[in-house]
Formats: sequence, C-alpha cells, structure tokens
Amino acid sequence: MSKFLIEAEDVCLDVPVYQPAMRKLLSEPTRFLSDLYLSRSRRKAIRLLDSISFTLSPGERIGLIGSNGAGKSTLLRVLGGVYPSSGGKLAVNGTAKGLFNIQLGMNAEGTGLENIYLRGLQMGMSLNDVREIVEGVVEFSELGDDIALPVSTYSTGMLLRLAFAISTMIEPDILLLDEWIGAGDARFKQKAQDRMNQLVDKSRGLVLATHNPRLMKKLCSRGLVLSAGKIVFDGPVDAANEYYDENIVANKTRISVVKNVQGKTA
Amino acid sequence: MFRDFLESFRKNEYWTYSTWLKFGLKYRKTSLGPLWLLVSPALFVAFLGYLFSSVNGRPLDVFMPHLAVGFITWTLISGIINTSAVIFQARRSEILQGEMRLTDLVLAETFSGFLHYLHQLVIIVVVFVLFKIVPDLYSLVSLVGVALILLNSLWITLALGILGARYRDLVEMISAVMRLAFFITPIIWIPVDGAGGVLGAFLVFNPFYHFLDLVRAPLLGAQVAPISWIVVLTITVTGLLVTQLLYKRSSRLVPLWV
Repeated sequence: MSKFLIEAEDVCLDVPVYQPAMRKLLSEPTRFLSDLYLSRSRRKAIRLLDSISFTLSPGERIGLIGSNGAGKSTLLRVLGGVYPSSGGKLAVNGTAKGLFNIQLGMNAEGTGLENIYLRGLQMGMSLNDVREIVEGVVEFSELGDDIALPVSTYSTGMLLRLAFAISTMIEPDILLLDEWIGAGDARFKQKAQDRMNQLVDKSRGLVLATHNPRLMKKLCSRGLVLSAGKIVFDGPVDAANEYYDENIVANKTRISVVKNVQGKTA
Repeated sequence: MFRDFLESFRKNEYWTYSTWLKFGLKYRKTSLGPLWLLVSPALFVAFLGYLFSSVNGRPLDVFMPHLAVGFITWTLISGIINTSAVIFQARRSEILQGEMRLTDLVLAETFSGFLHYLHQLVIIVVVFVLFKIVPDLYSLVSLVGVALILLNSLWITLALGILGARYRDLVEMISAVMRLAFFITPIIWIPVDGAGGVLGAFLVFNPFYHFLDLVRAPLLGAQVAPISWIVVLTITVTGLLVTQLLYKRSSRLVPLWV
C-alpha cells in the first residue's frame, strides 16, 4: 500500500476526434457538402493531457485551476477511472468518485421518487442503499409531497435541488469535484454549501477543478495550474493563484490587447 | 469479460430495476400501456398470415403458427442486433459517470429486449389457441432455444457495441444486412424441398435460420436438425471467445470513443 492516495507519473491522454477537412463552414457551403460525400473528414488524435505528474497524500486538498479547455475536467475523469490513460503510470488507492454531471440519468416522465432510484442505481448503489437514502434526499431537497409528481412538472429550482440532494449522497475516499455546485435560492444555497463542506470534510482527499481563486483558497491546501494539458505550476494555493493571475490570465489579456491594437491600425 | 459478466450478474440491481422502471415510464401516459407492443406484430401476423399462406400455397393452420413464432422470435433477434451498434453512444452519460461496466449496460439492453419478447409471446399463444395447436413435452426445447439466443445476445451486443462506437459506419451496414436477412430467412415462407429456390439450398449457411429453428421447430412438433445444434453451439462458443479478445483489447477505450 502506497502512502499516497493518488500517484500520477507522466500520465498522458490522447483522444481521437473527427475533423472536417475545412474549418470555414459557412463561407463555402458547397465545399461542406462535397467534403461530406467524399468523406474527407480526418480522424486524428489530440493530446489532452501531457505528462501529468503529481501525488495526493491523505488529507490533502488539491485545487486545479486553469482556463477553459486546459484539461481540468478531463484529468478528473482520468483520476475517476473513466478515461484510460494513454501513457504513464497512475495509481489510485481507494475509491475515487466524482460529481461530474449532477443531472445524469434523470427521466422527465418519472416521479421524483422514481428518479431517486434511477439515479441511485446508476451511481452504482444497491437497491438497499437507495432505500436508505430516500428519506434523507426527500427531506434535504424540501420537495415534500411533490416527490410523487413527475419531474417534468418541477421548476428548474426544484429539479436542481433534487439532483443536488441525490448526487451528494456519495461517500468516496477521494472526492473529485468539477466546479463547486450551488443550487437554488439564497437560503438553499447556504444549505447546499454546508452539505458540500460536509462532503469535503468526510473525504480523505479532494481534487477540485475550478475557475474561482477565492473558493480554491478557502478549500484547498495546494494548487495545480493547468495549461494546455500540462501542469505548469504545483505549489501552495496562494502561489498557484498568483501564478495563474500573472501568467495565464495576464497572457490572455495581453494577446487580446495586441489583437485590438492590430485591429485598429489595420 | 467473463469475470465482468459474473460480477454484473451478482450485482444485478442496476440492469434489472432501472430497465424495468424505464420500461414502465415509457408507456405510463398511453392508455394501452405496454400492450402497444402487441399491436404492430399482431397486425403483421394477421394480415401477412392470410396473404402469404395463399402465396406459399399452404393451409392457414400450418402457415399461421409458422409465421407467428418465426416473426416474434425474429423481432427479438433483429432488435438485439439492430440496436447493438449504437448502445454505448446512447448510454454515453452513464459511461462517463464511470460507475457502470460495459457488461452492466449490455445486460440492461438484453433484459429490455427480453421484456419486449415476453409481451409479444401473447401473440404466439393466441395463434396456437385459434389453430388448436397443442405443444408436447419436446416443445420445452424451445426454451433452450430462447436461452441460447439471449446468451448470444450478450456477446453480440458487447462486440458490436464496441465496434460500433469505434466505427460509426457499422450501424448502417447492420441495418442494411438485417433488412435483407428478414427475407432470406424462412419467416414469411416455408422451406420445403424446392421451395425458396436457390435460397433453400443455401439455407444451411444462414445462421439466423438455425437460431430461429431452435425455437420454432419444437413448438410446431418437428425435430431440431442436428446441424442446427452444431451451428448454434459453434457460433455461441466462438462468439464468446472472440468477443473476450476484443473486450480485453478495446473495452477501456470505449469511453473515449462514445
């Protein structure tokens, strides 16, 4: 047994994508059709994660920060065992579970109660486990008797509350969070936040992907900055946030400033 | 693969209950409910039975039961094969959640096909009552036939599901072949000496015929030909072994492909 919860060494992930031969779709509609019939789209591998190396010790809380498309969610899915790494070594000791998609498997025709069962079973619970959580979910989501109505009649807020209540019933060793989930009105938001904090406290390790430096500072003990599938910084939270602000956010603004200037002179 | 299937059988609550629930939800708002499953095949068997018994020149009480058993069982087989190449794409969100094994999803799909089949069996019963056909003890062999179809469904769904996730052309190919297979398999015609022309002579090479006959012949008071047993068992064993190789090699990559 290793002393780390997660041990990643040079983990890579290549994902196949289909690319149309031409990118400018609407400027030449006929070309789009001819490419389609002559099957000119190409299958090509894109490297989404590139030699990722880090460890997660028991009790440690890692925050992943990075711009959109930097590979944060993808990395979480690799840690959760959904995507197989294409290279490198990855050891995960304990159950790593994620909250990736809180609306997974909701069936609009089914009642709230039926959806608790559907969703619970899909999260890998046994029927008995689900039976045990039902009461807690109904109570937490504050749906009351509405739980017997089809979820298609629910308001967005009710739906979110139900989804949130079911999804947060997991108790993994390593919690993988893709963005902090808040749901509902101001009062429920507070309740949701407490529940999330509880979830984090109960887990032995946390990996949180986020855009929010403040939240990261509050929850995490260590920060990883991800850029284009690579870890460009690994260190204390404050330093990571600083690095992110200076090198990633600033870079982006600089580029757009340059573009603006060019636009004006052209 | 075998270990994953065993594990899925042990932890069967997902694929039994959630399939059952979804099946119920699908028909909740209709007034006939799941009985709608009977309408299309009942119309088909009734009308085509009359029409094709004269085309085939066979009396109605011979042709109708032949058609009913053949068509209903064909619906099971073709349903399994037609959906297999897209099941993993259709269940993408479940795969990406990471809790379900592919074998769980395959079992859910097969179970759903079986539920449909159970409903449609009513049509066979009605036809048998109308034409006063009394099954004998040997008819129980039919159950073995259905069990073998379901067993084969496991590897077919898994193998075509994996291949279909990687090669999106597969589903089109399958639907083209299955349409043809319906006509070259003796469902709306009866194979006797000379009937079916060239097709009749080559029937032995049609795997669907052997599977179908395993269910149909015992119910209609005929013996299953030894060649049918040999073909079906060979396909079952070979299919399971080949799929195991494919599963070992490619199952991990399916989440990236869907």
